[in-house]
Amino acid sequence: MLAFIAKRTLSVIPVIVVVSIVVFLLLRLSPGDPAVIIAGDNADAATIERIRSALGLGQPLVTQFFIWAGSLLQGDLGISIFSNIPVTDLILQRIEPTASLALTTLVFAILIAVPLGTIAGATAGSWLDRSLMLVSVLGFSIPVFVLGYCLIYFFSLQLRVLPVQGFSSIREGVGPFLSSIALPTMTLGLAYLVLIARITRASVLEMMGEDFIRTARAKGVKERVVVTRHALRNSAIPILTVIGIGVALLISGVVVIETVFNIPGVGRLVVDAILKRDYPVIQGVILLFSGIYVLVNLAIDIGYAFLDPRVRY
Amino acid sequence: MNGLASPTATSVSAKPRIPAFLLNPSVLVGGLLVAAIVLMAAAAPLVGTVDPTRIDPAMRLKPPSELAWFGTDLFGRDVYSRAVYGARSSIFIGLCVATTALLTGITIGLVTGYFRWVDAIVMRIMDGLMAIPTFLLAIALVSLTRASIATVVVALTIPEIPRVVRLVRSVVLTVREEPFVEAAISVGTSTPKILLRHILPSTYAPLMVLGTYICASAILIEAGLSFLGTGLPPEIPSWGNMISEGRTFFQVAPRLVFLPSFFLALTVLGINLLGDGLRDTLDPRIAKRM
Amino acid sequence: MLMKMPPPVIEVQDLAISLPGGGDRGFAVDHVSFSVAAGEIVCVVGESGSGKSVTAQSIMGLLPKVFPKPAGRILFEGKDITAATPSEMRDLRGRGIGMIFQEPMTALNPVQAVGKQIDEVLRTHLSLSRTERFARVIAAMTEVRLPDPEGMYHAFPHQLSGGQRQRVLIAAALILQPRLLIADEPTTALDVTTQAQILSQIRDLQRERGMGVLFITHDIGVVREIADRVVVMKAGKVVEHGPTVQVLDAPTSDYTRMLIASVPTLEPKRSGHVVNGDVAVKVDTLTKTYHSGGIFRDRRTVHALQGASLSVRRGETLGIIGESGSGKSTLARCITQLIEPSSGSVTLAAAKNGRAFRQRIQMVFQDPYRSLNPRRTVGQSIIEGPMNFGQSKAEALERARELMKLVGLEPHAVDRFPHQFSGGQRQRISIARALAMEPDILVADEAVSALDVSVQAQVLRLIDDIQKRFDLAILFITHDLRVAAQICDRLIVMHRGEVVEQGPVSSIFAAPVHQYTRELLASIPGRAEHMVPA
Repeated sequence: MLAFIAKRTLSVIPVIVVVSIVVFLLLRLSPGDPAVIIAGDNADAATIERIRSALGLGQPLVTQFFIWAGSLLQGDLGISIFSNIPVTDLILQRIEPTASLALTTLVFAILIAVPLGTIAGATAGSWLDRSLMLVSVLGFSIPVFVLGYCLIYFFSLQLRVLPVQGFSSIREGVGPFLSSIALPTMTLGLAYLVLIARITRASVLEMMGEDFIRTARAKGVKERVVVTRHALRNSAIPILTVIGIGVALLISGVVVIETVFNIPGVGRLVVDAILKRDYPVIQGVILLFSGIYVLVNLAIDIGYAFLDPRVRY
Repeated sequence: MNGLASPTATSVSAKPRIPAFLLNPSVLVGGLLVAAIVLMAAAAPLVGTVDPTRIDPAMRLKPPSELAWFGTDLFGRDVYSRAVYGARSSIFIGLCVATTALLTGITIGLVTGYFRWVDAIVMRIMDGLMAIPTFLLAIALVSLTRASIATVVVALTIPEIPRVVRLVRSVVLTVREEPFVEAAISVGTSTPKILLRHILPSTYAPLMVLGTYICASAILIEAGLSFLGTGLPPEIPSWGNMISEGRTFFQVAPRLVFLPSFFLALTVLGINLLGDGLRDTLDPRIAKRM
Repeated sequence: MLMKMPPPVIEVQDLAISLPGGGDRGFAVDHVSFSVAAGEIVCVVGESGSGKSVTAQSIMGLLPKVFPKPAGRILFEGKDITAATPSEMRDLRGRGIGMIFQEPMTALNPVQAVGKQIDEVLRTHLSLSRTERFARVIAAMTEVRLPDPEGMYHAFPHQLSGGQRQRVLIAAALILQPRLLIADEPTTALDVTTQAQILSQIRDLQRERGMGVLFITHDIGVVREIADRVVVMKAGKVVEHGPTVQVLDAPTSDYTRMLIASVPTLEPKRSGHVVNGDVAVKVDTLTKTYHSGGIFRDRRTVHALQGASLSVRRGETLGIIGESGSGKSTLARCITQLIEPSSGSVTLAAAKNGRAFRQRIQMVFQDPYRSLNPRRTVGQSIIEGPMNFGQSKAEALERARELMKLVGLEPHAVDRFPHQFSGGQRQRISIARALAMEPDILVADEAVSALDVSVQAQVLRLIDDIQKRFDLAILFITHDLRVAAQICDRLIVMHRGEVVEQGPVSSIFAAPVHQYTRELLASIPGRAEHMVPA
């Protein structure tokens, strides 16, 4: 078991290395002089020179990478060109709203998706199943920002029950926190929810055709128990996997949602940085998000061993 | 077909018939939607539009009228015309990204299926690329260069390639174990021929499905990029650009956001329906590979 | 009215189940009647598509949803259960009727400990304390002779062998002492030695408890071994039924006669066959070792093949006999160079006019559904090899038509796709494909195992015929000694990667030397009756 965990953990290293090389090369290999790209069209020579030396652009590419990766290992993501504040500090200042939103969305989506998908899978072909499939294809087709505006229009402008925009920290009270985060959570959660529900449905449906389901029925087990104890339990791995893969969806969504709902989080940070070509910030945020994605999926990979005895060795 | 029948082939005549996938309701509805939107994009000048880029300061933010069916935007441009022309950018980008990603992915996938040592290296790179959320990678790539259709296409294609490579590779690995491949080996067929003749055709159906998903995803991401102001240049009529410009006036003129949103969602819905229908009819097992 | 007989445990009256899809597409089960009394074993025997499994599932009320509701009556101890409510049926399953299935590999939930899966029957039907339930599960596991029941309680299905899994399923099916056991091909997926053990176990438990057993099988040998009475089904209809001895030894219907005649007997068919061809292939101490694991796991080494030597002459058929995991398929694949052996050598006789290895040795695979590329016409599959070695397309196609005729198919069928043929026909096509290369040596890897007995007999005749015609050396790999007796001159018996015995078929059958060979021969179902030809 420990060997399995160690093996999985080590397998993450090459991924992290490739991610950091890609993120590093993003700027260095772009057409034109990176310093000029960052400085923008109207910069003077002194500014360009300052950026060039800050990034160590004079040295060979490999040296640049090792210097950059070295400071990365010490938790140093560089310094924002625009605000001159360390990127790590900028991210820490902005992490709370983003983390809150991600967690509420995760809980919201999973709590609804798994039961819904299970029922749909066990009653494939029923009206509930058909409507879930219809809603799911809609959920994949509506861009998050469009959905966001639809919800704002309905709940905030027409019904006037929820605030239009903004974020209220949980430290300022649970009520304001929940009402500020409700719409962003629903918006961000829909695609994630239908994704998980679809996989749950497909997997439960597939399991319902397995021989061991027939065995359970032959034992006289109640249909509800057949579905949960046997079909759903055996679907745990695909469901967990899609929860992990879906984190990418969540991350992409956060970047847009924070702009729609005017939430001062990491997503907004990176959008602002892109508009200002603040490269160290962009790199820092990409690394952060990719790192989270990789770690979540590592945790899920390790979780397999607890859920499926065939994975253990 | 039981054992007592004479061992001559029972004749199942191969008369031409409509392929099963065309009868799937999902394929039908999705296909019709997509066809309608493609037609609209192609015939944009003929469907009651005016020049979508003509700026008219006197006509700023006018409500819908007989002249401008969905009113005008901040610069006095006709919202309806811009939305119709916007279909062109979206469809062009969707198709370009899907084609380039598929072609590049198939090539890489087959080569990695052939040379074992390349496989290890390429798959590590693909894993790394997959670990960077698609939207972030795309946003970072466009932000490096001046926005244009070409850079957006490239930026959207790169993050999709690993998905294609993985799919091709998973098909190659599965089909490679099939007895009919062993049979081909034992009659002396060379490895490249086996790849092209026996393995590549098995990837067509899943790739067709993945292609539709990539197309839908590219259209969505382009809209997202333009929405954030990092996508297509603002003068190009695109649904993302329109929503981005309209969002400032959302509370006073929600139509500026809703019309392009409607077209956008309808297009992606059509493509997704088409993809789901193809997946279900061509081979339900495809779902597991993606 | 004298003494009233107790009603049979199960009585099926005029049961009719339409084929799925609606309309008049005929019946999967066509007005079938039979009964099983307490204390007897009734076998329902038939080939694929005979409706025997559908019948069994409808008794359990577990018919797949695609089937419409059955017509007719099913009486369990005199009570009609076709009208039972779902909850009454649930109560009956597990308590009144136990059922075991064909695939012990997949019939158990892979993520639940096997003890818990037996326990589930108790939890569902009784309210007992945890310790009482545990004791009863252990008792049930002991009764079916599972080793170390307390340890095995917590094991997961993948840690058990096929036979052990089937025992777990039997324990679960019988823990509540049901009056009827339905066994749907419970030994088909098992090795022959395990099959013998499971069959005797079912027989013993049935006698001890006096329960009725409805046993579904396709294997006449199994019927002879276990049944008191037989019901023969074909295409949904009962063609014959009666006491086992009567049906098997004096069948009244042509179909039953054909079914019995198709079952290969253990009598060696080739005892008079003289082989004097040249040695075509010589295999010398071939080994294959697999290594698995890495830095974090103990390296596991699997000796799939440990020094196999053999030689085959032209005109001779060498049978390679073994159960799953014996290394027989590894040997075949090493000889045909589909995998590389770890050591040892394969030598073909000196080639005339420089023909390549791939031209001289050809293979017929087990699975007729997967060994032809579904996207290519059978003609394309047949001409692929010759064209690889420079034959023109027209020439190759002409030859392909001739070969189709030779293997008993219509020459113009070369333009069809594999899915348009039945399993037996596909196997003929695979043979045609191999012959197109004009090989000296043919390796048949379980080439008839996936076929119904009647089709099996036809394909065996074809192989016999082409061997004579082309003077082929044949390596015939099979797990079935009865099939081997039909076609082989000599046998090699393999066990755990080693050759444990070899010699002419007749002497191995008459006087097996190795313990394993003896066990193998003793396990063949219905053997006693066949060893003494009437």
